Amino acid sequence: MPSSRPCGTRERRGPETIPANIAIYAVFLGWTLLCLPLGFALSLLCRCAPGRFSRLARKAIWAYGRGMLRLLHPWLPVRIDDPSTALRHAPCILVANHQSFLDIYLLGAQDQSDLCLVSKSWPHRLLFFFAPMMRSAGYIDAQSLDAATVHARCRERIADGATLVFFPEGRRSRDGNLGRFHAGAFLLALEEGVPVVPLAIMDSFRACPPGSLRFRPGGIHMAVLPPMHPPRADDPLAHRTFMRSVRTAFLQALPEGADGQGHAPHGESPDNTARPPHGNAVQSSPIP
Amino acid sequence: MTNDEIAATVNRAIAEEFELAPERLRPEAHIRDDLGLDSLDIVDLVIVIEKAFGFKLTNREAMMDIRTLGDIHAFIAALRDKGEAGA
Repeated sequence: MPSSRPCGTRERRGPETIPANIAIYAVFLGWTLLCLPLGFALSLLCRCAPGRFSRLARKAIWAYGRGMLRLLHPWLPVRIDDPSTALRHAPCILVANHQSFLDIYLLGAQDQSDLCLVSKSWPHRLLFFFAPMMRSAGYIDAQSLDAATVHARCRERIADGATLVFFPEGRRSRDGNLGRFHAGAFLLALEEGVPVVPLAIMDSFRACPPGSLRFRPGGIHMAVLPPMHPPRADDPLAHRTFMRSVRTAFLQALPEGADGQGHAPHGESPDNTARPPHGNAVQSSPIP
Repeated sequence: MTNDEIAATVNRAIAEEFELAPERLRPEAHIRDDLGLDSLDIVDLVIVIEKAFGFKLTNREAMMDIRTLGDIHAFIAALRDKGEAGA
């Protein structure tokens, strides 16, 4: 499995991971139960005054994620390169590869706390205990709403100073490799003239792949890559060219062989990035 | 341009633009379910087809109703027969 690069701590499998799994599940349950009353209270506030507390709700969700990462540190230590990139370049669009349900929590490792997730419908419907908070935060259901409404809401959030978050693969990777990208985030970046900040997540597939209920303790490495600015072009397919540049940047950051398409996309280089991200001298740090 | 040439041109353009493996491009492949294209991809697909054949589609909406790759081949062939495609 190409993306299973051990990092931080050695990967452990087998019965010795059972105590760690019990601890991880206890942390998930305990921290979530502790935060839920606050979340519901915030949801009520947002219902009373729609829009006024959306930013607070978004920051609260981010704080919940960061708190979770800190509590899980003994089993799933996270280190991240350039955690403040999205904060420094706001408003921007954060795009991340998607390997595991942990990725949502991993967004808490980077420093921009005003995050607005643009996602499919199912998290809004099935995660009933999180759904009120997601609504309060103004998260966008890109599947149920028509394209014009999604676009308008994305614009509103950007104008409000939020950083939109997309997982452009549209679903979690089934083999740990980087999948095909969908173009929506890149068209939006082009139309709004905001940069895209790629967030490369490594090792979360190894820690908890889709379909697995078992965690594999070990380090998780993330890298926030330099912002990539959309081109100013008359080409009606410029957003696709831009999308491929961003995907190429991901491929350079991820371990070798992570291209789920099995070929280099059009041989394009991310010429609007400042530097190649993988193997560079960026100091990675644990989350504070 | 023969039907086979039309199919080959369409398939090559789609494989390149949407990074799809050529073996997935069967005529019966459903554009959304099998090839995984979303609504924005389909808008882009119209432009890709126009570029590949060097003409402007006057009835772009008709492309939105297309379901399978074979439908696209047939659509272009029909335009050729009507003399609209320049193919």
